[in-house]
Amino acid sequence: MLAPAPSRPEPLPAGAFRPELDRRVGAFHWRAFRTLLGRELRRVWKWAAMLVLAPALMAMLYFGVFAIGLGDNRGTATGDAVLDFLVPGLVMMSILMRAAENPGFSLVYMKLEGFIIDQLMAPLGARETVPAYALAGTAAGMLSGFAVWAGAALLWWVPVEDPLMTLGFGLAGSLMMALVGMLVGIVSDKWDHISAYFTFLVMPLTFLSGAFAPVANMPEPMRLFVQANPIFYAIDGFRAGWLGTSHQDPAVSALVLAGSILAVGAVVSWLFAKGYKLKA
Amino acid sequence: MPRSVGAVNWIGLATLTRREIRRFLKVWVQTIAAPVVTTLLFYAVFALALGGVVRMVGDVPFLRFLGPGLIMMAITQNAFANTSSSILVSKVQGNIVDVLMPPLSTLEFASAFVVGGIVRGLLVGVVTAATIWVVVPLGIHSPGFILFHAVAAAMLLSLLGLIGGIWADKFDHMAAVTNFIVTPLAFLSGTFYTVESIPPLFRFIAHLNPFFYFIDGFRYGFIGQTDGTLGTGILVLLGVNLALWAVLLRMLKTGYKLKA
Repeated sequence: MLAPAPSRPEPLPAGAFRPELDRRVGAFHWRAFRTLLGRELRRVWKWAAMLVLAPALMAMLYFGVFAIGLGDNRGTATGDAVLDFLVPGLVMMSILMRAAENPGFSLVYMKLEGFIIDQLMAPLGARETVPAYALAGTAAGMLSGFAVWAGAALLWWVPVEDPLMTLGFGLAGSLMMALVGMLVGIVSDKWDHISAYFTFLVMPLTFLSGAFAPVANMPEPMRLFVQANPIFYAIDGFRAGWLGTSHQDPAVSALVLAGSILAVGAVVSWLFAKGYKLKA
Repeated sequence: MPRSVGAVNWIGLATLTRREIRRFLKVWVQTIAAPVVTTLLFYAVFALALGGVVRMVGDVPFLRFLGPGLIMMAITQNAFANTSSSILVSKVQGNIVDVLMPPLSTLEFASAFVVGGIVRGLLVGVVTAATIWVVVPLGIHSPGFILFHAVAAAMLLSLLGLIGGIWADKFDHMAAVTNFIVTPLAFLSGTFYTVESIPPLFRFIAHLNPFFYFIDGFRYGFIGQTDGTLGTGILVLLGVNLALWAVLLRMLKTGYKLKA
Protein backbone atom coordinates (compact mmCIF):
# COMPACT_ATOMS: atom_id res chain seq x y z
CA MET A 1 0.00 0.00 0.00
CA LEU A 2 2.84 2.34 0.84
CA ALA A 3 4.95 1.23 -2.11
CA PRO A 4 5.66 4.04 -4.62
CA ALA A 5 3.40 4.24 -7.62
CA PRO A 6 4.85 2.15 -10.49
CA SER A 7 4.96 5.18 -12.78
CA ARG A 8 7.46 6.95 -10.53
CA PRO A 9 11.04 6.60 -11.78
CA GLU A 10 12.89 7.15 -8.50
CA PRO A 11 11.60 5.75 -5.17
CA LEU A 12 11.27 8.48 -2.56
CA PRO A 13 13.22 8.16 0.67
CA ALA A 14 11.31 6.91 3.70
CA GLY A 15 9.26 9.60 5.36
CA ALA A 16 9.22 11.82 2.30
CA PHE A 17 6.13 13.88 1.59
CA ARG A 18 3.84 11.89 -0.68
CA PRO A 19 1.13 14.28 -1.71
CA GLU A 20 -0.76 11.68 -3.72
CA LEU A 21 -1.40 9.36 -0.77
CA ASP A 22 -4.85 9.89 0.59
CA ARG A 23 -4.65 9.87 4.39
CA ARG A 24 -7.88 11.69 5.04
CA VAL A 25 -10.32 10.05 7.40
CA GLY A 26 -14.01 10.61 7.36
CA ALA A 27 -16.02 12.27 10.06
CA PHE A 28 -15.76 9.00 11.95
CA HIS A 29 -12.62 6.91 11.60
CA TRP A 30 -14.15 3.47 11.41
CA ARG A 31 -10.95 1.50 11.03
CA ALA A 32 -9.30 3.09 14.06
CA PHE A 33 -12.47 2.62 16.06
CA ARG A 34 -12.70 -1.06 15.09
CA THR A 35 -9.03 -1.63 15.90
CA LEU A 36 -9.24 -0.07 19.34
CA LEU A 37 -12.54 -1.81 20.10
CA GLY A 38 -11.02 -5.10 18.97
CA ARG A 39 -8.05 -4.67 21.26
CA GLU A 40 -10.25 -3.79 24.23
CA LEU A 41 -12.55 -6.74 23.55
CA ARG A 42 -9.57 -9.08 23.37
CA ARG A 43 -8.58 -7.70 26.74
CA VAL A 44 -12.04 -8.51 28.09
CA TRP A 45 -11.79 -11.97 26.62
CA LYS A 46 -8.40 -12.55 28.20
CA TRP A 47 -9.89 -11.83 31.61
CA ALA A 48 -13.09 -13.75 30.86
CA ALA A 49 -12.45 -16.37 33.54
CA MET A 50 -12.27 -13.68 36.21
CA LEU A 51 -15.29 -11.91 34.76
CA VAL A 52 -17.34 -15.08 34.70
CA LEU A 53 -16.26 -17.46 37.45
CA ALA A 54 -15.57 -15.11 40.35
CA PRO A 55 -18.75 -12.98 40.01
CA ALA A 56 -20.91 -16.07 39.48
CA LEU A 57 -19.51 -17.69 42.61
CA MET A 58 -19.82 -14.47 44.63
CA ALA A 59 -23.44 -14.12 43.56
CA MET A 60 -24.16 -17.70 44.59
CA LEU A 61 -22.58 -17.00 47.98
CA TYR A 62 -24.63 -13.84 48.46
CA PHE A 63 -27.71 -15.71 47.40
CA GLY A 64 -26.98 -18.59 49.77
CA VAL A 65 -26.40 -16.24 52.67
CA PHE A 66 -29.65 -14.40 52.02
CA ALA A 67 -31.60 -17.61 51.51
CA ILE A 68 -30.35 -19.04 54.81
CA GLY A 69 -30.63 -15.67 56.51
CA LEU A 70 -34.35 -15.60 55.80
CA GLY A 71 -34.81 -17.71 58.91
CA ASP A 72 -38.45 -18.46 59.56
CA ASN A 73 -39.51 -16.86 56.28
CA ARG A 74 -37.75 -19.53 54.24
CA GLY A 75 -40.19 -21.45 52.05
CA THR A 76 -43.02 -18.97 52.59
CA ALA A 77 -44.43 -16.58 50.01
CA THR A 78 -42.70 -13.66 51.72
CA GLY A 79 -39.38 -15.47 51.65
CA ASP A 80 -39.75 -16.43 47.99
CA ALA A 81 -40.55 -12.83 47.10
CA VAL A 82 -37.34 -11.70 48.79
CA LEU A 83 -35.33 -14.19 46.74
CA ASP A 84 -37.11 -13.21 43.51
CA PHE A 85 -36.26 -9.61 44.30
CA LEU A 86 -32.64 -10.47 45.01
CA VAL A 87 -31.71 -12.25 41.76
CA PRO A 88 -32.06 -9.25 39.39
CA GLY A 89 -30.26 -7.11 41.97
CA LEU A 90 -27.28 -9.46 42.06
CA VAL A 91 -27.09 -9.73 38.27
CA MET A 92 -27.27 -5.98 37.82
CA MET A 93 -24.71 -5.30 40.54
CA SER A 94 -22.19 -7.48 38.80
CA ILE A 95 -22.95 -5.85 35.45
CA LEU A 96 -22.42 -2.38 36.92
CA MET A 97 -19.21 -3.15 38.81
CA ARG A 98 -17.49 -5.06 35.98
CA ALA A 99 -18.54 -2.52 33.38
CA ALA A 100 -16.88 0.24 35.42
CA GLU A 101 -13.76 -1.71 36.34
CA ASN A 102 -12.81 -2.83 32.87
CA PRO A 103 -12.19 0.50 31.09
CA GLY A 104 -10.98 2.16 34.29
CA PHE A 105 -8.22 -0.35 34.92
CA SER A 106 -7.39 -0.53 31.22
CA LEU A 107 -6.73 3.21 31.08
CA VAL A 108 -4.68 3.35 34.29
CA TYR A 109 -2.66 0.33 33.20
CA MET A 110 -1.86 1.96 29.87
CA LYS A 111 -0.92 5.22 31.55
CA LEU A 112 1.40 3.50 34.03
CA GLU A 113 3.04 1.28 31.42
CA GLY A 114 3.35 4.22 29.10
CA PHE A 115 1.85 2.57 26.04
CA ILE A 116 -1.14 4.89 26.05
CA ILE A 117 1.09 6.81 23.64
CA ASP A 118 0.27 4.20 20.97
CA GLN A 119 -3.32 5.21 21.14
CA LEU A 120 -2.71 8.95 21.47
CA MET A 121 -0.44 8.99 18.40
CA ALA A 122 -2.89 7.15 16.19
CA PRO A 123 -5.41 9.23 14.24
CA LEU A 124 -8.11 8.70 16.86
CA GLY A 125 -10.28 11.41 18.29
CA ALA A 126 -12.53 11.39 21.32
CA ARG A 127 -15.41 10.38 19.09
CA GLU A 128 -13.73 7.07 18.24
CA THR A 129 -11.89 6.47 21.52
CA VAL A 130 -14.77 7.01 23.92
CA PRO A 131 -17.25 4.66 22.19
CA ALA A 132 -14.58 1.98 21.78
CA TYR A 133 -13.76 1.87 25.50
CA ALA A 134 -17.37 2.33 26.53
CA LEU A 135 -18.57 -0.54 24.34
CA ALA A 136 -15.86 -2.89 25.56
CA GLY A 137 -16.77 -2.04 29.15
CA THR A 138 -20.42 -2.65 28.35
CA ALA A 139 -19.51 -6.04 26.91
CA ALA A 140 -17.52 -6.93 30.04
CA GLY A 141 -20.46 -5.97 32.22
CA MET A 142 -22.96 -7.96 30.18
CA LEU A 143 -20.68 -11.00 30.10
CA SER A 144 -20.44 -11.09 33.88
CA GLY A 145 -24.18 -10.42 34.13
CA PHE A 146 -24.97 -13.54 32.12
CA ALA A 147 -22.52 -15.50 34.28
CA VAL A 148 -24.17 -14.35 37.48
CA TRP A 149 -27.59 -15.17 36.06
CA ALA A 150 -26.39 -18.68 35.20
CA GLY A 151 -24.94 -19.12 38.69
CA ALA A 152 -28.05 -17.84 40.41
CA ALA A 153 -30.29 -19.96 38.16
CA LEU A 154 -28.63 -23.07 39.56
CA LEU A 155 -30.07 -22.12 42.94
CA TRP A 156 -33.21 -20.16 42.16
CA TRP A 157 -35.06 -19.66 38.88
CA VAL A 158 -36.82 -16.36 38.37
CA PRO A 159 -38.60 -16.08 34.99
CA VAL A 160 -37.88 -12.93 32.99
CA GLU A 161 -41.13 -11.07 32.34
CA ASP A 162 -39.96 -8.72 29.63
CA PRO A 163 -36.63 -9.83 28.11
CA LEU A 164 -36.29 -6.78 25.87
CA MET A 165 -36.76 -4.27 28.65
CA THR A 166 -34.43 -6.25 30.91
CA LEU A 167 -31.74 -6.38 28.25
CA GLY A 168 -32.24 -2.70 27.47
CA PHE A 169 -31.77 -1.60 31.08
CA GLY A 170 -28.85 -3.99 31.45
CA LEU A 171 -27.14 -2.43 28.44
CA ALA A 172 -27.94 1.13 29.51
CA GLY A 173 -26.70 0.57 33.07
CA SER A 174 -23.60 -1.14 31.76
CA LEU A 175 -22.88 1.73 29.36
CA MET A 176 -23.37 4.32 32.09
CA MET A 177 -20.95 2.56 34.42
CA ALA A 178 -18.42 1.94 31.64
CA LEU A 179 -18.34 5.72 31.14
CA VAL A 180 -18.01 6.27 34.88
CA GLY A 181 -15.14 3.77 34.88
CA MET A 182 -13.45 5.72 32.07
CA LEU A 183 -13.84 8.92 34.04
CA VAL A 184 -12.20 7.28 37.07
CA GLY A 185 -9.46 5.89 34.84
CA ILE A 186 -8.71 9.30 33.34
CA VAL A 187 -8.45 11.16 36.63
CA SER A 188 -6.38 8.43 38.36
CA ASP A 189 -2.59 8.66 38.15
CA LYS A 190 -1.80 5.43 39.96
CA TRP A 191 -3.33 2.24 41.29
CA ASP A 192 -3.95 3.81 44.71
CA HIS A 193 -6.17 6.46 43.14
CA ILE A 194 -8.30 4.12 41.11
CA SER A 195 -8.76 1.67 43.95
CA ALA A 196 -9.70 4.54 46.28
CA TYR A 197 -12.31 5.80 43.79
CA PHE A 198 -13.75 2.33 43.52
CA THR A 199 -13.76 1.60 47.26
CA PHE A 200 -14.99 4.94 48.51
CA LEU A 201 -17.22 6.05 45.64
CA VAL A 202 -18.27 3.44 43.09
CA MET A 203 -18.82 0.55 45.49
CA PRO A 204 -20.88 2.47 48.07
CA LEU A 205 -23.04 3.93 45.28
CA THR A 206 -23.55 0.46 43.82
CA PHE A 207 -24.27 -1.16 47.19
CA LEU A 208 -26.63 1.58 48.41
CA SER A 209 -28.83 1.45 45.37
CA GLY A 210 -31.67 -0.81 46.32
CA ALA A 211 -29.89 -3.84 44.89
CA PHE A 212 -30.53 -5.96 47.97
CA ALA A 213 -33.47 -4.41 49.73
CA PRO A 214 -36.60 -2.62 48.52
CA VAL A 215 -36.17 1.11 48.76
CA ALA A 216 -39.64 1.41 50.27
CA ASN A 217 -38.43 -0.39 53.42
CA MET A 218 -35.54 2.00 54.05
CA PRO A 219 -35.44 4.70 56.69
CA GLU A 220 -36.20 8.18 55.38
CA PRO A 221 -32.69 9.77 55.01
CA MET A 222 -31.32 6.67 53.35
CA ARG A 223 -34.24 6.47 50.95
CA LEU A 224 -33.65 10.02 49.79
CA PHE A 225 -29.97 9.24 49.31
CA VAL A 226 -30.73 6.11 47.31
CA GLN A 227 -33.27 7.90 45.15
CA ALA A 228 -30.70 10.56 44.28
CA ASN A 229 -28.36 7.83 43.06
CA PRO A 230 -28.60 7.17 39.29
CA ILE A 231 -27.55 3.56 39.88
CA PHE A 232 -30.82 3.02 41.72
CA TYR A 233 -32.69 3.75 38.49
CA ALA A 234 -30.57 1.28 36.54
CA ILE A 235 -31.35 -1.47 39.03
CA ASP A 236 -34.99 -0.51 39.43
CA GLY A 237 -35.57 -0.43 35.67
CA PHE A 238 -33.77 -3.72 35.24
CA ARG A 239 -35.99 -5.20 37.90
CA ALA A 240 -39.07 -3.71 36.22
CA GLY A 241 -38.19 -5.69 33.11
CA TRP A 242 -37.30 -8.88 34.94
CA LEU A 243 -40.07 -9.06 37.54
CA GLY A 244 -42.68 -6.78 36.01
CA THR A 245 -42.83 -4.77 39.24
CA SER A 246 -40.71 -1.85 40.34
CA HIS A 247 -40.59 1.11 42.66
CA GLN A 248 -40.41 3.72 39.91
CA ASP A 249 -42.16 3.95 36.60
CA PRO A 250 -39.62 2.34 34.19
CA ALA A 251 -40.06 5.32 31.86
CA VAL A 252 -38.70 7.60 34.59
CA SER A 253 -35.79 5.23 35.15
CA ALA A 254 -35.05 5.17 31.43
CA LEU A 255 -35.02 8.97 31.32
CA VAL A 256 -32.70 9.25 34.32
CA LEU A 257 -30.36 6.69 32.78
CA ALA A 258 -30.35 8.39 29.39
CA GLY A 259 -29.62 11.73 31.04
CA SER A 260 -26.79 10.24 33.13
CA ILE A 261 -25.25 8.51 30.12
CA LEU A 262 -25.29 11.74 28.13
CA ALA A 263 -23.88 13.78 31.01
CA VAL A 264 -21.05 11.41 31.91
CA GLY A 265 -20.39 10.71 28.23
CA ALA A 266 -20.07 14.43 27.54
CA VAL A 267 -17.62 14.94 30.41
CA VAL A 268 -15.53 11.94 29.37
CA SER A 269 -15.47 13.05 25.72
CA TRP A 270 -14.49 16.55 26.73
CA LEU A 271 -11.63 15.26 28.92
CA PHE A 272 -10.45 12.96 26.16
CA ALA A 273 -10.56 15.73 23.59
CA LYS A 274 -8.63 18.02 25.93
CA GLY A 275 -6.15 15.26 26.70
CA TYR A 276 -6.63 15.82 30.44
CA LYS A 277 -4.00 13.75 32.32
CA LEU A 278 -3.49 11.84 29.08
CA LYS A 279 -1.44 14.21 26.95
CA ALA A 280 -0.12 16.47 29.67
CA MET B 1 34.50 -8.56 64.92
CA PRO B 2 32.16 -11.13 66.39
CA ARG B 3 28.97 -11.47 64.42
CA SER B 4 27.37 -14.36 66.24
CA VAL B 5 23.67 -14.19 66.95
CA GLY B 6 22.08 -15.77 70.00
CA ALA B 7 19.43 -18.45 70.02
CA VAL B 8 17.04 -15.85 68.69
CA ASN B 9 18.11 -13.15 66.27
CA TRP B 10 16.11 -10.45 68.02
CA ILE B 11 17.38 -7.59 65.88
CA GLY B 12 16.53 -9.43 62.69
CA LEU B 13 13.13 -10.48 63.95
CA ALA B 14 12.28 -6.96 65.12
CA THR B 15 13.48 -5.43 61.86
CA LEU B 16 11.46 -7.71 59.64
CA THR B 17 8.39 -7.36 61.86
CA ARG B 18 8.69 -3.60 61.72
CA ARG B 19 8.98 -3.74 57.95
CA GLU B 20 5.84 -5.88 57.72
CA ILE B 21 3.88 -3.41 59.83
CA ARG B 22 5.19 -0.29 58.10
CA ARG B 23 4.46 -1.85 54.75
CA PHE B 24 0.71 -1.71 55.27
CA LEU B 25 0.62 1.41 57.47
CA LYS B 26 2.22 3.41 54.67
CA VAL B 27 -0.83 2.75 52.49
CA TRP B 28 -3.37 2.83 55.33
CA VAL B 29 -6.10 4.23 53.10
CA GLN B 30 -6.09 0.98 51.18
CA THR B 31 -5.19 -1.39 53.99
CA ILE B 32 -7.23 0.00 56.89
CA ALA B 33 -9.76 2.57 55.70
CA ALA B 34 -10.93 0.66 52.61
CA PRO B 35 -11.75 -2.60 54.42
CA VAL B 36 -13.50 -0.69 57.20
CA VAL B 37 -15.72 1.12 54.70
CA THR B 38 -16.46 -2.13 52.86
CA THR B 39 -17.40 -3.89 56.09
CA LEU B 40 -19.69 -1.05 57.13
CA LEU B 41 -21.38 -1.22 53.72
CA PHE B 42 -21.95 -4.93 54.23
CA TYR B 43 -23.36 -4.20 57.64
CA ALA B 44 -25.79 -1.62 56.28
CA VAL B 45 -26.87 -3.75 53.35
CA PHE B 46 -27.32 -6.99 55.24
CA ALA B 47 -29.03 -5.27 58.13
CA LEU B 48 -31.53 -3.70 55.74
CA ALA B 49 -32.06 -6.77 53.62
CA LEU B 50 -32.23 -9.40 56.32
CA GLY B 51 -34.95 -7.81 58.34
CA GLY B 52 -32.98 -5.23 60.24
CA VAL B 53 -34.01 -3.76 63.48
CA VAL B 54 -36.92 -5.88 64.56
CA ARG B 55 -35.58 -9.38 63.99
CA MET B 56 -34.12 -11.40 66.84
CA VAL B 57 -31.63 -14.24 66.74
CA GLY B 58 -32.16 -16.19 69.93
CA ASP B 59 -32.22 -13.53 72.64
CA VAL B 60 -30.27 -10.84 70.81
CA PRO B 61 -31.31 -8.40 68.09
CA PHE B 62 -30.06 -9.32 64.62
CA LEU B 63 -27.87 -6.21 64.43
CA ARG B 64 -25.91 -7.29 67.49
CA PHE B 65 -25.66 -10.81 66.12
CA LEU B 66 -24.34 -9.62 62.76
CA GLY B 67 -21.77 -7.12 64.08
CA PRO B 68 -19.19 -9.54 65.55
CA GLY B 69 -19.44 -11.83 62.51
CA LEU B 70 -18.62 -8.99 60.14
CA ILE B 71 -15.80 -7.71 62.35
CA MET B 72 -14.32 -11.20 62.33
CA MET B 73 -14.66 -11.39 58.54
CA ALA B 74 -12.74 -8.13 58.24
CA ILE B 75 -10.00 -9.35 60.61
CA THR B 76 -9.49 -12.61 58.74
CA GLN B 77 -9.63 -11.17 55.23
CA ASN B 78 -7.06 -8.53 56.07
CA ALA B 79 -4.72 -10.86 57.91
CA PHE B 80 -4.79 -13.11 54.86
CA ALA B 81 -4.37 -10.24 52.40
CA ASN B 82 -1.40 -8.84 54.31
CA THR B 83 0.85 -11.88 54.41
CA SER B 84 -0.13 -13.22 50.99
CA SER B 85 0.40 -9.92 49.20
CA SER B 86 3.64 -9.19 51.04
CA ILE B 87 5.29 -12.46 50.11
CA LEU B 88 3.91 -12.49 46.58
CA VAL B 89 4.95 -8.93 45.79
CA SER B 90 8.45 -9.69 47.10
CA LYS B 91 8.60 -12.78 44.92
CA VAL B 92 7.33 -11.10 41.78
CA GLN B 93 9.60 -8.07 42.24
CA GLY B 94 12.57 -10.19 43.21
CA ASN B 95 13.36 -8.44 46.48
CA ILE B 96 12.55 -11.65 48.37
CA VAL B 97 16.32 -12.30 48.42
CA ASP B 98 16.68 -9.41 50.86
CA VAL B 99 14.79 -11.40 53.48
CA LEU B 100 16.16 -14.82 52.52
CA MET B 101 19.82 -13.80 52.74
CA PRO B 102 20.00 -12.42 56.30
CA PRO B 103 20.67 -14.79 59.21
CA LEU B 104 17.02 -15.41 60.06
CA SER B 105 15.76 -18.82 61.03
CA THR B 106 12.61 -20.15 59.38
CA LEU B 107 10.68 -19.56 62.59
CA GLU B 108 11.89 -15.95 62.87
CA PHE B 109 11.13 -15.37 59.19
CA ALA B 110 7.60 -16.76 59.50
CA SER B 111 6.88 -15.04 62.84
CA ALA B 112 7.65 -11.59 61.47
CA PHE B 113 5.19 -12.04 58.60
CA VAL B 114 2.53 -13.60 60.82
CA VAL B 115 2.79 -10.78 63.36
CA GLY B 116 2.39 -8.26 60.52
CA GLY B 117 -0.79 -10.04 59.39
CA ILE B 118 -2.18 -10.24 62.91
CA VAL B 119 -1.53 -6.54 63.58
CA ARG B 120 -3.27 -5.49 60.39
CA GLY B 121 -6.22 -7.81 61.04
CA LEU B 122 -6.66 -6.56 64.60
CA LEU B 123 -6.30 -2.90 63.59
CA VAL B 124 -9.02 -3.26 60.97
CA GLY B 125 -11.11 -5.15 63.50
CA VAL B 126 -10.77 -2.49 66.20
CA VAL B 127 -11.58 0.39 63.85
CA THR B 128 -14.57 -1.47 62.40
CA ALA B 129 -15.85 -2.39 65.86
CA ALA B 130 -15.49 1.18 67.10
CA THR B 131 -17.42 2.51 64.10
CA ILE B 132 -20.22 -0.04 64.43
CA TRP B 133 -20.36 0.67 68.17
CA VAL B 134 -21.36 4.27 67.50
CA VAL B 135 -24.58 3.05 65.89
CA VAL B 136 -25.17 -0.30 67.59
CA PRO B 137 -23.53 -0.89 70.99
CA LEU B 138 -22.48 -4.50 70.74
CA GLY B 139 -21.88 -5.15 74.45
CA ILE B 140 -19.11 -7.32 75.86
CA HIS B 141 -19.78 -10.63 77.53
CA SER B 142 -16.27 -12.03 77.86
CA PRO B 143 -13.18 -10.06 76.78
CA GLY B 144 -10.99 -13.15 76.97
CA PHE B 145 -13.03 -14.96 74.31
CA ILE B 146 -12.94 -11.91 72.05
CA LEU B 147 -9.18 -11.55 72.32
CA PHE B 148 -8.34 -15.24 71.99
CA HIS B 149 -10.54 -15.79 68.95
CA ALA B 150 -9.44 -12.59 67.26
CA VAL B 151 -5.76 -13.47 67.61
CA ALA B 152 -6.19 -17.16 66.81
CA ALA B 153 -8.23 -16.37 63.69
CA ALA B 154 -5.85 -13.67 62.53
CA MET B 155 -2.93 -16.04 63.02
CA LEU B 156 -4.68 -18.84 61.14
CA LEU B 157 -5.38 -16.63 58.16
CA SER B 158 -1.92 -15.06 58.26
CA LEU B 159 -0.44 -18.55 58.07
CA LEU B 160 -2.78 -19.49 55.21
CA GLY B 161 -1.81 -16.28 53.44
CA LEU B 162 1.89 -17.04 53.77
CA ILE B 163 1.44 -20.60 52.54
CA GLY B 164 -0.70 -19.38 49.66
CA GLY B 165 1.72 -16.57 48.85
CA ILE B 166 4.67 -18.96 48.75
CA TRP B 167 2.77 -21.39 46.56
CA ALA B 168 1.39 -18.81 44.10
CA ASP B 169 3.53 -17.78 41.14
CA LYS B 170 1.44 -14.84 40.03
CA PHE B 171 -1.36 -12.59 41.16
CA ASP B 172 -3.97 -14.63 39.30
CA HIS B 173 -3.19 -17.64 41.49
CA MET B 174 -3.66 -15.56 44.62
CA ALA B 175 -6.91 -14.08 43.33
CA ALA B 176 -8.14 -17.61 42.69
CA VAL B 177 -7.29 -18.72 46.24
CA THR B 178 -9.06 -15.66 47.65
CA ASN B 179 -12.14 -15.98 45.44
CA PHE B 180 -12.60 -19.72 45.48
CA ILE B 181 -11.36 -20.76 48.93
CA VAL B 182 -11.13 -17.95 51.47
CA THR B 183 -14.26 -15.96 50.57
CA PRO B 184 -16.59 -19.00 50.37
CA LEU B 185 -15.29 -20.32 53.71
CA ALA B 186 -15.84 -16.90 55.26
CA PHE B 187 -19.32 -16.47 53.81
CA LEU B 188 -20.62 -19.92 54.67
CA SER B 189 -19.49 -19.84 58.26
CA GLY B 190 -22.41 -18.45 60.17
CA THR B 191 -21.40 -14.81 59.84
CA PHE B 192 -24.81 -13.81 58.58
CA TYR B 193 -27.07 -16.43 60.14
CA THR B 194 -27.16 -18.84 63.00
CA VAL B 195 -26.33 -22.35 61.86
CA GLU B 196 -29.08 -23.59 64.19
CA SER B 197 -31.53 -22.45 61.55
CA ILE B 198 -30.14 -24.37 58.60
CA PRO B 199 -30.87 -27.91 57.41
CA PRO B 200 -28.89 -30.65 59.25
CA LEU B 201 -26.66 -31.56 56.31
CA PHE B 202 -25.50 -27.95 55.89
CA ARG B 203 -25.11 -27.59 59.63
CA PHE B 204 -22.78 -30.59 59.59
CA ILE B 205 -20.75 -29.03 56.75
CA ALA B 206 -20.60 -25.73 58.63
CA HIS B 207 -19.15 -27.55 61.62
CA LEU B 208 -16.29 -28.78 59.43
CA ASN B 209 -15.34 -25.21 58.56
CA PRO B 210 -12.75 -23.70 60.91
CA PHE B 211 -14.18 -20.27 60.12
CA PHE B 212 -17.36 -21.32 61.87
CA TYR B 213 -15.53 -21.85 65.17
CA PHE B 214 -13.74 -18.57 65.36
CA ILE B 215 -16.78 -16.57 64.34
CA ASP B 216 -18.91 -18.43 66.84
CA GLY B 217 -16.42 -18.06 69.70
CA PHE B 218 -15.73 -14.43 68.87
CA ARG B 219 -19.43 -13.68 68.79
CA TYR B 220 -19.89 -15.49 72.09
CA GLY B 221 -17.41 -13.02 73.58
CA PHE B 222 -19.81 -10.21 72.64
CA ILE B 223 -23.31 -11.61 73.05
CA GLY B 224 -22.81 -14.64 75.30
CA GLN B 225 -24.69 -16.91 72.92
CA THR B 226 -23.18 -19.77 70.96
CA ASP B 227 -24.12 -22.04 68.06
CA GLY B 228 -21.55 -24.71 68.74
CA THR B 229 -19.37 -26.06 71.47
CA LEU B 230 -16.89 -23.49 72.70
CA GLY B 231 -14.35 -26.04 73.96
CA THR B 232 -14.33 -27.88 70.64
CA GLY B 233 -13.90 -24.56 68.87
CA ILE B 234 -10.82 -23.66 70.89
CA LEU B 235 -9.29 -27.09 70.27
CA VAL B 236 -10.01 -26.86 66.53
CA LEU B 237 -8.40 -23.43 66.35
CA LEU B 238 -5.30 -24.51 68.25
CA GLY B 239 -5.03 -27.70 66.17
CA VAL B 240 -5.42 -25.96 62.80
CA ASN B 241 -2.95 -23.26 63.79
CA LEU B 242 -0.38 -25.85 64.85
CA ALA B 243 -0.86 -27.85 61.66
CA LEU B 244 -0.43 -24.74 59.51
CA TRP B 245 2.72 -23.73 61.42
CA ALA B 246 4.14 -27.19 60.76
CA VAL B 247 3.34 -27.00 57.04
CA LEU B 248 4.74 -23.49 56.73
CA LEU B 249 7.99 -24.23 58.58
CA ARG B 250 8.46 -27.34 56.45
CA MET B 251 7.97 -25.29 53.28
CA LEU B 252 10.46 -22.68 54.47
CA LYS B 253 13.00 -25.28 55.53
CA THR B 254 12.99 -26.97 52.14
CA GLY B 255 12.97 -23.59 50.38
CA TYR B 256 9.86 -24.61 48.43
CA LYS B 257 9.36 -22.12 45.57
CA LEU B 258 11.45 -19.55 47.44
CA LYS B 259 15.00 -20.75 47.08
CA ALA B 260 14.55 -22.99 44.04
